[in-house]
Amino acid sequence: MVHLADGVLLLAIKRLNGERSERSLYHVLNGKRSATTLQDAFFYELEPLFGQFPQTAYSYESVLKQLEKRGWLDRKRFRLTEAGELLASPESVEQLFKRLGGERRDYNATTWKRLSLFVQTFMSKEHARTFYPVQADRPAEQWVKQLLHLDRDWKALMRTFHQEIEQALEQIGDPYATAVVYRFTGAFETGLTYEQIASLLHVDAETARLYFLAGWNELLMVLPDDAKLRGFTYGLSTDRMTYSARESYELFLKGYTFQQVQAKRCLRTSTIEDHVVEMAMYLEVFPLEQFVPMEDVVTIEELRHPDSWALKPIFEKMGRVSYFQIRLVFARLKRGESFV
Amino acid sequence: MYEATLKRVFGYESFRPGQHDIIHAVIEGQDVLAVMPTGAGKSLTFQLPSYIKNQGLTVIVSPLLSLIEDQMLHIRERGERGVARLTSMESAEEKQDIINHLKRYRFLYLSPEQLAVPYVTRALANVKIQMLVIDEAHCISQWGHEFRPEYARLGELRKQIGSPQCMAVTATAPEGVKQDIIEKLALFSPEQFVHSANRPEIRLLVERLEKEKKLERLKELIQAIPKPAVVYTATRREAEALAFELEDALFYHGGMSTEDRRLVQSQFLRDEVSVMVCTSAFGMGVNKDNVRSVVHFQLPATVEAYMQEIGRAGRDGQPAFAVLLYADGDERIQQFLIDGQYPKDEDMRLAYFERENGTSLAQLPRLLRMNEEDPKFLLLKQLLTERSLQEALDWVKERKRDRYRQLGQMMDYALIRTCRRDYLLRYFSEQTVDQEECCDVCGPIPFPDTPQIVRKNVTEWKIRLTQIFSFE
Ligand SMILES: [Zn+2]
Repeated sequence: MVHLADGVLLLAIKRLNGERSERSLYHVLNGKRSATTLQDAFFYELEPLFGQFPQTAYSYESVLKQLEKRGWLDRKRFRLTEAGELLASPESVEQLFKRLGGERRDYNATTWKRLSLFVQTFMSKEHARTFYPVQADRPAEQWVKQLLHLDRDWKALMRTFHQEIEQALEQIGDPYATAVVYRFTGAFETGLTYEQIASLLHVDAETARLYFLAGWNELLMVLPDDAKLRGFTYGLSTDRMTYSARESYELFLKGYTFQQVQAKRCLRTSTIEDHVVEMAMYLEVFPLEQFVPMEDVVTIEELRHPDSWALKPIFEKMGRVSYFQIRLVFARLKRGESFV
Repeated sequence: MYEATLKRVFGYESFRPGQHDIIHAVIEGQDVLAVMPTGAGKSLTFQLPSYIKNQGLTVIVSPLLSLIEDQMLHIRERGERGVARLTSMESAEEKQDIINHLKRYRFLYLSPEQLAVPYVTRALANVKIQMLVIDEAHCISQWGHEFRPEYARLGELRKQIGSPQCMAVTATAPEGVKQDIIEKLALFSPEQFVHSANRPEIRLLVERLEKEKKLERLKELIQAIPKPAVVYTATRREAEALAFELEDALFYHGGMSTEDRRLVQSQFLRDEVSVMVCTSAFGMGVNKDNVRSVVHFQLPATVEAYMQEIGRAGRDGQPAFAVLLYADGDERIQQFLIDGQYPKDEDMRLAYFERENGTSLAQLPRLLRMNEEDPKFLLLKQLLTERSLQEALDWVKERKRDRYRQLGQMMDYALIRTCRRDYLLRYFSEQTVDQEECCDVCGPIPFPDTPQIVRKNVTEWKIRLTQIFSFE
């Protein structure tokens, strides 16, 4: 049996284009917030997967072994075989892949914990049923407790939440809607495990898990800005930039130079460079010329092979620019800018 | 004598057998060792005295997060707010907050590791502690089936927090284990209470069959036995495979996400699913009174473990069934698991050699290719500080031999041709009892007719969503 979840992993390997190592993908799947991993995810369009496949090195190894054994992966080059390419190519794989929401993982996961716990708690109290909390998450528990202390017409609000969820899921449709709805626990209905959802949808458990992640991510995307449910995202950010990079960014905004920022923060040059690369990746507007002379920007763009984000060939051909500078230019190119 | 408190705080009319005497001894200020089967109501015996004496904090040490969680849930459910826990789940901030306000609490649950954290020990030394309770006290004994190295320091820690009155509770403890508990915790001429290990409501059955026929037989059996039922097996993979083969079954093991684990527990508690397949290493931490059958698809490692696991059946006092499926050679899985719990001789030699040559403890896991959290490594670390190489090698050899011996006793249970209840009771140094519907050796054990549960069909997601949000 080939499952959609296998296809998603294969597509990730395909996108890496043989330019990154097995280890690189491992860190992306586990959501390691290091500069290299963030850049890998950004350049090779793996952000939706970021941190959505937490696993041990041991189980990652066995997954790769399995893919190789089934003839889909060439581990020496870390590229797909022809058979593997075929499985990574269907539209359904791509659809699921791009909806996984790894770039907003914490935002999505926390919102889910809060809402699911709130619904279970409120409905159980309403029906005077004792319950076994589905979430074992202290911050979520405390958040829900505080929320329930607020004096609101909760019954009316619950009706609104219900409508908002239903309308959003109507737009998204099945199988995502089923995967999301059956994870909720009410006063009388306990949510289903991924295995159970899998048997409802006639897929494997891993695919069911991805349907849930994708469905929930989409729900938060299509939810109108003024939806009452947005209250459950209170205090959460969808910002992709790391906290440390943001601190540097704010100093740059105040007009400090690179050296001044570095001196003020007492960090290594390479660390501040990583922060600047994050800015180049995530900001709408970025003053590229402050870091790379325009003629070098143009040369880098011209030298880049259209299918590749490998830094080394450019570095070797040009000689006078640093890896840091190439990364910055690549980041803006990846965002769709052009300087030629 | 304490019925008024029982009614007011716990809402019960009367004590269950044995509870009153234990509570009395606790209130009199005695150290207590109580051996009570799971489900006999042991937590009440250390909670109720707190309301009668009102002399400070009751500190409860428990090895499993799930047990702590379960007990806290019950305490909170009856409206008691003065309960807190210190485990690996709390943030440093939360821990600090609890430590700073210990006076707020009546009950404090913590893991043995947390009790050993110096600032926790110090804080506890400075408050009035009414009693220290050691739950699952058999873990302190190297003779027990669940020895935990982190329990070994509890005696010393008790002293450090001012040697408060101490109560050790456990579900199962043969004589050797009892002596060990008393010595290691330095219990001062404790009152001992031993609740009979016999569970008359549980009928005992063993079926011997060929390995290849086990799965098929399990499927039939699950159809025939009354449910809810728990199936115990040895490995996660097998738990998953069996759950897949059985109807209306879910698996449950330590490799699942917390959310999924909780969903399974909740479904089982509410009778939304009728069979749960779990690994012995990860029985569920929730109380469910109406489990009607416990089936062992694999041999447990010890008789104590077996008693504890079948003890989940029939807590409501209604008839229940314990079935062990045994095929020749099944013990090999347990042997393999036992071997895996102790460091190999060559690893021990290497570790001692490296230590003598100045390698730091922190570097060892990498050299040995072990996870630093691996219990095997923790054990090795302890051996390194306490024993010479030869002593350590002997100790491990001795321990393994002992575990094999215990496994042999479990095998005997499957193989004997005399009364199984008698065998179990003698294991716990108890007298034989005669009863109707005892075991498959004493006479046939019929399963009562059970109505097959028919599951509702899957509903369309919109209907399900409406049900969840319904106020009707
Ligand atoms: Zn018998």
